[in-house]
Amino acid sequence: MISFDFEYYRPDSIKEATDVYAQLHEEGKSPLYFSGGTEVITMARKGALKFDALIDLKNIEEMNVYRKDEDGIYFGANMTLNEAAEMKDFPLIREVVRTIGDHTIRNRITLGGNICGRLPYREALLPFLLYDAQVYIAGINGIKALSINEAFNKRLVLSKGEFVIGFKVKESFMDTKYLNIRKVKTSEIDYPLLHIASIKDEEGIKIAVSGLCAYPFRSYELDKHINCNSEPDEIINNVYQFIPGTIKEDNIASAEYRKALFELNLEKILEKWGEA
Amino acid sequence: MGSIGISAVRKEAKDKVAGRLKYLNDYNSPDLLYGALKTSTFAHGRIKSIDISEALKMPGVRAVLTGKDLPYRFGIYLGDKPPLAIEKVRYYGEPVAAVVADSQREADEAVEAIKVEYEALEVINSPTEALADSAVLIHENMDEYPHIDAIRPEPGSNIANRTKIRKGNIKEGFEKSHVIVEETFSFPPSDHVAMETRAAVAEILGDGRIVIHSTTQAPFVVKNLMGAYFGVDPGKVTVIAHAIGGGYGGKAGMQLEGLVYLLSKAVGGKKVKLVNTREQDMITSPGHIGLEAKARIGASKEGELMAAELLFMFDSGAYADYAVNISRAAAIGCTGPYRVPNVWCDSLCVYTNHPFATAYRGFGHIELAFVIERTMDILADKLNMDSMELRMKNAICKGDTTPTQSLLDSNTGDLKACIKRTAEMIGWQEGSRVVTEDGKIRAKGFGCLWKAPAMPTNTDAGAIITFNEDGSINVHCGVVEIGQGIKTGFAQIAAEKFGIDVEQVHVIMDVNTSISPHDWATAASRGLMMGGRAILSACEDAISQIKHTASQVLRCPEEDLHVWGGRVFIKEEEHIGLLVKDVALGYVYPDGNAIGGQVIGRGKYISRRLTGIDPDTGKGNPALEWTLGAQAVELELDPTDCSYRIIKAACTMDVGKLINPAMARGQIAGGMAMALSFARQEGFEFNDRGHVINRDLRSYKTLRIGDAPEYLVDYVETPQGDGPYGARGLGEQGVIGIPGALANALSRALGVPFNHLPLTPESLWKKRRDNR
Repeated sequence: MISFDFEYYRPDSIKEATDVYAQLHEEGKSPLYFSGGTEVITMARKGALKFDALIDLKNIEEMNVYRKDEDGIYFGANMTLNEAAEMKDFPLIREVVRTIGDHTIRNRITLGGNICGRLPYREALLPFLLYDAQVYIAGINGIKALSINEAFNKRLVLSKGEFVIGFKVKESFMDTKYLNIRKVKTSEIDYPLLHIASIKDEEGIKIAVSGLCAYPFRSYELDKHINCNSEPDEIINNVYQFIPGTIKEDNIASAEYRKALFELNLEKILEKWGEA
Repeated sequence: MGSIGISAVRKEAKDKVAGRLKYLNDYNSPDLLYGALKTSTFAHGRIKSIDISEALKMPGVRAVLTGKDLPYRFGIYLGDKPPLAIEKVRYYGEPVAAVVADSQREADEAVEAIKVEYEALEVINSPTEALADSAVLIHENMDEYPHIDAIRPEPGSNIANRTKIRKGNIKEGFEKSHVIVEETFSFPPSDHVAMETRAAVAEILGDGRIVIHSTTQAPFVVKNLMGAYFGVDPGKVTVIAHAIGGGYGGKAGMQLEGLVYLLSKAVGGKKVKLVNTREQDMITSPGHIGLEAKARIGASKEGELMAAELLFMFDSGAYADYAVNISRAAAIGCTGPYRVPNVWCDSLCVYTNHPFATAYRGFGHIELAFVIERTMDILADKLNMDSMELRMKNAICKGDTTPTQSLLDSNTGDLKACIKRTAEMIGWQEGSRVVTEDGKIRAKGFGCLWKAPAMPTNTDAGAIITFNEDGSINVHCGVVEIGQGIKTGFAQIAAEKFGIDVEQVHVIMDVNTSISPHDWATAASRGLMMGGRAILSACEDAISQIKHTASQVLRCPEEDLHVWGGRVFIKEEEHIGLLVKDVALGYVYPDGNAIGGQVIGRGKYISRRLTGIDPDTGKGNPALEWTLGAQAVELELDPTDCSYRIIKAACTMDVGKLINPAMARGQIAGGMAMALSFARQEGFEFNDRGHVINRDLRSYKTLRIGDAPEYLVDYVETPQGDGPYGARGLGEQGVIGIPGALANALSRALGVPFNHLPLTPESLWKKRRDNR
């Protein structure tokens, strides 16, 4: 049970949502947007999250659709992970989102919530980073489209009152080959100690990583490094200068084990792409 | 007819799978008030102040209580625990205050408004720390605590119980040994993670009667302890147990019942409900005991065990609860199912500042078996002997004596046959360590089990049988349905006795201490044997009453009659008889005269010839029956990162007589799943202040269905002469040998000894690295 009172809003349009946010903000309240609500419920129940008002985005049509546009395939941010997993156009997206939580909870967790929520793993983001997806962000001044690799720096950078309405991926990535490796403490249904998603296209190998640092990342410098013509050993030895943060140490795993997993699996990825 | 040995569908199955079976928290009523607990944020601390003034002013709040309002001491064996902490807290999560309010929300909000200030005390984070000379005392006034005779606390220390076993001559045993191994073992406290969290509802009626509904495995224990703790007349206490969503020992003894009664009392006897949140169920209520142990075992050149010297230091946490008796049970069975002529064991129950421990499936045996089964493999390595052969050679049999020097009689199961069958199922001869083409290691490990109930010498069961107009039977027994399927097993036993279909036997699901015949507790895997015996005795009583009435109508001696298949008839002239339905509620002659009246079968059983144990040597006969078995695990390990998948888990158990194969398999496979989860991935993690870090299911991970191996289950049937149709207990036993078997398989896979649980891939990886 959430043992504090809060206001609840369920706007029907983007404008209504940003307006109510602005109004609440003006009243000095601390509103939060949400979609699936799994983090809101679990964290607020334990007192780890406080808010004066919740703005439920589930009724916003633009966020609930999956459609093929001329310039790519659009994923509404309200799509649940199970809905995203059922769309067969991008097998990597399917494979990545199906590793998050368990089947029941994936009926609630949404793409937008997984990527913009409080938990640091944001694994649904990994394929979008690799595909250089467009992210659509709504704010008081309307909708803007950004490259996700520009909008993302440790987290998706959103200004006050902004929220993500969807992602768009170019159809040309549909057939791109991929590798996906996810390592856990013991049970499959747990946070990743390491999650590496990787594709290889005409530009070379690309990797996006979650679990290793306090936030997921993809970096062009890192991609450049692993595509150099050095031996795998050398690539791995010199890789840390391209890792944007320190390696995470927590009660799920030590930094040294995460580091070992990263090295083993980066080697595996280089080896497999080498064979291919 | 044959109702024994068939997989009758459990009586509550349809309601269970349809979600219609009601658990305690599903019951609500308009007059219900709700309780909530404020819990400690210190593992060891002096309570400087508790400010309840804000909480008292909040809407809907009826009462706010703190420890000083409740001058009681709880404890099933040792009275050491206040219902709410008084003066100091001894573990992280201990209740310090309680609220009663009109709604759960108001109760929870009021809890938030209670302000507690603590002064930190030195935290004891392990039994070793607790036993150090310089250790602070967690219970300074232990000498004032009441306790039962079987428990031996040592005031002035942190030892709540010490049980000693002295069999043979340990010195000579080691002198005769050619090979001696010595190792240390440990695992942290953990949780049962029953699907249903604990709950209780209490009210005090106008005439002073107390009615408690509880998720309890032990309604009669609760009733008895209500008398002991509060001086209330036990006849005025009614405890009602509905079907519960998993017990595993965690719902035995007294749980929330005492406190919820006090909450009800604080609001004039109104009905109050108290339900654990998942987090409270994990750390505020008691969980699984932790252990640190040392084992030293000697054997002859041929691998014959000569001596075992064992020190168990159980991590009881802040209070003794069942842990004192767990340490005693572990001493009684300390050698595992092996013939050892010379035994020295000290089994200690040690206070720490961890969440406290209660009964957990296996009750001392899963713990001791981890120590023994690992040591057996280490010994086999040193002897250069096959570890399965070593077990076979030393398997305990009829004619051997237990650590308490009790002789194993003709009811003893055939452990060697179990080992042989398990070895076949797991493919032991095909190799216990194989490297696959893709560089993975497939390894197998063995672990044997034994278990006897740890219970009072006068443990009993009772049963009542009544009849319906169609001759069908109602069976009423005080054993609680905790998911084990006992009610259906009882129906099968009664059906077999009467030669009727199981469908013709109805069971009463709830247990009500004012109505149900007395039963000790649904614990110790004794329900089938003891309850089954009581039901057989009730059937015989009913049958003699049926014969008595029928003999008058049929004009023949009672002893010439037989009751079978819904009829009572003359043995040699089967066509001369009556339908049971025409006799069981009184026989009516054609002219309307009636005789006999209804049949009410009364049955009872009390354990036979049990004794306590000698405080200095452990000599005695405390075990009703020993269930024996052999288990094995096969896994596939990736040596690069030490991640592994459990492929197979096998168990052969000597169950005496299989009553219901599907449910027996469910119990045994379920036990193996629970033990694999415990050994592979469970265990509380503590920081240096004694806080439990992984106190929710987000961070405390249990085995999922997708992680489950293939379960191979088989049986040996050496009859338990005094069991119903030869059956003996099998409910808990499936857990016992598995942690040892898993650790043995992993140790074999990597050539590194793994003696500490849980066996996470990272812990294997680190140990291997440190060993290089």
